[in-house]
Amino acid sequence: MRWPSKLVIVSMLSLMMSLLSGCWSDRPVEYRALALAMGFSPAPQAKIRVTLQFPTRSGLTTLTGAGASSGSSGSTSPPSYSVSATGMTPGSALARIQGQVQSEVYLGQIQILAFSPRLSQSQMGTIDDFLTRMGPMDKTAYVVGTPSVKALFSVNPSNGALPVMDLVQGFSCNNCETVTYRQHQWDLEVALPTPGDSAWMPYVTIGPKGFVTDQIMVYRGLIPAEILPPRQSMLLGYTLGRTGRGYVSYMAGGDRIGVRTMTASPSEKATLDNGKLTLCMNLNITGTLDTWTGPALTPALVQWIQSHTNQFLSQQILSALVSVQQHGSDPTDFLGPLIWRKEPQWRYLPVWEKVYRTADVVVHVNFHLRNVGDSN
Amino acid sequence: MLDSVKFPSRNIGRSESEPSIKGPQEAFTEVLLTQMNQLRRRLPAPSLQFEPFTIGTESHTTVLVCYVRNVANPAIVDAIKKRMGAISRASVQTSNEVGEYLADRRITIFPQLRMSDRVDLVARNLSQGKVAILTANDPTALVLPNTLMDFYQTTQDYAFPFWDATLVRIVRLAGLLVGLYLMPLYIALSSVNPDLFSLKLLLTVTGARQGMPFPPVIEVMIMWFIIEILREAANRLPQQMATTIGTVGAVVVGTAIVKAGLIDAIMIIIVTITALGLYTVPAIELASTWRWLFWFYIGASWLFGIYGIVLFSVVLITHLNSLENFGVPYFAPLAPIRLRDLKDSWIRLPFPDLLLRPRTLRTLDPRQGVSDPVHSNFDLHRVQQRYRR
Repeated sequence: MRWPSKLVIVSMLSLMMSLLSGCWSDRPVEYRALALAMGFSPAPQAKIRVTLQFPTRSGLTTLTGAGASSGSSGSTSPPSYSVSATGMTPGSALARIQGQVQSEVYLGQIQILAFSPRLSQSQMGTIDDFLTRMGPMDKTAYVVGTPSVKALFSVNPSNGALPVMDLVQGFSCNNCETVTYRQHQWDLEVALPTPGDSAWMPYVTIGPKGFVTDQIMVYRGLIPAEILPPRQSMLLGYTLGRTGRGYVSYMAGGDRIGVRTMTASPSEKATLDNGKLTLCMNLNITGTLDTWTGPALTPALVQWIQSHTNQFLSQQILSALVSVQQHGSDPTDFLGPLIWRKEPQWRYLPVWEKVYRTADVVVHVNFHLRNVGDSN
Repeated sequence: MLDSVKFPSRNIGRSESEPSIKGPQEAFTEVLLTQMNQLRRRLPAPSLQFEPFTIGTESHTTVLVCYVRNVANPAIVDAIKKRMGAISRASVQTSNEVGEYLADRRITIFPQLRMSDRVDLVARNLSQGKVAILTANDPTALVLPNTLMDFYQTTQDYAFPFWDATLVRIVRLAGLLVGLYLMPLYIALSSVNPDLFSLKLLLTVTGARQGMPFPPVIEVMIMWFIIEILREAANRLPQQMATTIGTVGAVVVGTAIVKAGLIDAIMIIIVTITALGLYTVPAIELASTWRWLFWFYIGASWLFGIYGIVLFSVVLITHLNSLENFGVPYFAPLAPIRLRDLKDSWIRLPFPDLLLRPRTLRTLDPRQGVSDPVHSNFDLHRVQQRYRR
């Protein structure tokens, strides 16, 4: 067989390479509608409502100060606007959104994916499938749950900054946030459709000062199992290794004890005894005594406070873990692979769920007071 | 019979095209005998050879092939002489007219001959084992064979301590990379691959570009056209006026064009940094190469984004690897890797560590120095002890 000449081969290769996806797609950013956040919520007739948030011109210039020179600094125009549409699939809804927006909708810079807890199992499955197949999205977006996508996207921070930037800062800073309830799109995409796997995401609500991110929404399969209140979210945050910072206040012996926790390091263990599963959670927690209304502190009293805090934290964390256990979800996901390896028959999901629901949960907390703060 | 002709000539002056802060300053003149004298003064060794050729049926221009006999590779010298002997032209007025006959590959954008009017640079290269071509009536000497790295080395690097020289060379490399890649990256990220931008940077760029009438690639063309006009105007004017025109042109045009809303401020910053980066190359013959390649990169980034930049970089490096000049690999000492030659490449080690001539030149005498006679402070301490007693 006679090979074609080098020139022909190089020309053909060059031609083929220049036809790769993405080539010839030159479109400057100012001619694109940059979607920064995408929300999914249920709509009538079992449709899915997709909402996209775009920065306005004044929102874009808040970072550069270019608005000041054009005389728009004093304007009260919001930094962002939202466009929504419904469809049986997110793709069809997006096509309708494109019809409402003048420029080409660009999804490559989506920072936040917001989910309503009212989405049905099949709708979540459709959305998950759409996200998995969506090429331009790089799957680094943060996922959040929210009671109302519309309300979440209509918040405009008082400082005039883009709302998405305000929200993203709460998830993207490793060292400045005490609670890191961050979850990325890729975490959710893997966890949601995996049988027996539990997914969770921060649940963002709107407070008087803006976004409030102190709750966790736990998924079981493709539907939300429960939304944990702030206290339980914090305690679950200890077990997830997502936070060590928190505040615990309780009454003991007629006196109020307030403890500010600083660090929490969890470790888990599962034991099997005659087919009975015991899940053991050990936590080393350190903190400072923030409030104490009793008599002057002595070493013996400090020891007593430590002991009481141990008991209190153990009960509270146990309560949080049992709560998620009763809903059949395992957000910590610390035992699944271990159990499945030891007992192959548990790979059958209903069996595993039954065993998990009836497992004994034991919590050991080793609390250490580092100092007594400014209490009397 | 003795040749007693004295040609009229200008005084020996400073090098205008390759100025340096420290070290020798003298440049060649147009008179060939003076050029020979200048070189002979720096290299009085009897092994320094000048072999004359007369080229040009009408101009009868004398061209000298100059080399150090016991250092330069004879194969290279013979090949150069053979090519010189084959040149047939009516007239030769500049050294470049000879040089373009000597290059191994004519269809390449990379220069293969170093052109210099600095006597110290030519003398240093001769001592390294290279060959110089001196042309009557042209103060520019040609030095060959060269690697790409040679175009980034100046004699000033050897007049400063090695730390300074290394720093300056790294700055030149950084200037090259910034000059070649910054603008294409900006175009690729702002037009083809915005998903690769960080959000804050993208919003800053998008905010700055709101209302701009031209896409980034057209803005680059406009700005580069202005820069080239300013540069050419500055070249044609007397030195004092050139500085004024350059400064006024850059400041006034830059400010006015942003105020007019024709080009965004980020583009002005990037164009300025790019232009400065591309002009950090010490050899002017290589500067135009990078300026050409810059446009290829712009085209690749505009059409194919980051992928195009990577693809063109691969093509460029492949081409550099394929180049040879009289058997000397053009991309050495990086490819093929010559660890020994890296000591005087993008870094420069102290002179006591530069004991060998470049391996790529395959010189007759590879050694240019002996090992450092002063090994440690130990001897010095011993001497001091002796005086204390």
